[in-house]
Amino acid sequence: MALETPAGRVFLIDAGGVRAATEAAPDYNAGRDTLAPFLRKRGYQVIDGLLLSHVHGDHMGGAEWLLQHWRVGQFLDHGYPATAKGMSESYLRLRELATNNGGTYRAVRAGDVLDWDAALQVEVLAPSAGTFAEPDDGSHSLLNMSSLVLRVQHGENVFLFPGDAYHAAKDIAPQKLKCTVLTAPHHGFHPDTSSFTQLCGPSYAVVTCAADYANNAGTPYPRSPGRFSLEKYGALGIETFVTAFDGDITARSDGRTVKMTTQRPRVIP
Amino acid sequence: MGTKELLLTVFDLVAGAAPAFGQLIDTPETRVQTSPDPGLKRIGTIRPRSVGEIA
Repeated sequence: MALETPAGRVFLIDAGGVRAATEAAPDYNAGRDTLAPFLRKRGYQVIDGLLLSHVHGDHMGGAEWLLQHWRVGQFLDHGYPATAKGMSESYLRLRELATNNGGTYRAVRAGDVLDWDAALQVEVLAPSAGTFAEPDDGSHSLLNMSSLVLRVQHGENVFLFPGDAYHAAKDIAPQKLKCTVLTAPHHGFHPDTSSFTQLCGPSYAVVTCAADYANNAGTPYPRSPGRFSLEKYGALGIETFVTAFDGDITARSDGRTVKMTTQRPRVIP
Repeated sequence: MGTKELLLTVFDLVAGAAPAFGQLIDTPETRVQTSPDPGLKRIGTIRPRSVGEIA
């Protein structure tokens, strides 16, 4: 996701994944093939900040290429310990790259306020300071739930970026979760849609997912989180956008209203 | 750039949404654990009725 601020700065929130080449398709790197072309097209020469919500490949995959090929002012993450079970060498390289290339690295915590733009209030809601104090099992769900949760306020509009954390941390004040635009946690896979979403109470939800996950057959998760989200969020009166169905999705805030646009007319396969 | 607006673009990524993950199983030591023998007093056994008895 790219956040372009009123003062003309650009921040990336997560960096997508990578895919190896197959006989049917070439390799893909979200940083190289999607984010960089967007940044160039929009006229940016530097990335003011890159924030990764957590240590998972589908969120960090494109970051290495960006840190190698672009000047990135600040690299921020949730501070997962270097020696913890779920940490990877490829992720640790990102922290090194960020500082080797003249930028800064900072692990942020709940309560931190980020100075991204005078017109914005940018606040970290999670993880809290003690989240990684004890050794953990490095499980997939633990890393999801300890995602960096970011709240960005522009005038009357609030954008919430919960990463893959689909339960609200107990120490987040519920009023902090209230938002205008919710980037749906865990790509719409979250099983507890209604309670978290009701706390957030968004007008719009944006879901990043593929159209179908055949491997999900037999799991509690839907094969099509996009369809699932349209149904679940729709039942709560939330206007919902899905990248797999709508293409790139843009939310434009003037501080009072939010205008949503999509790359293409919706197609649900 | 610099339009006084805040723009959020969410990309339709080719590889951007967890294709593989395990089921959520609560395994930490701090989880609520249930004893296999809850120690309830036995007060009787229900005998299921046959279809003929129900009809």
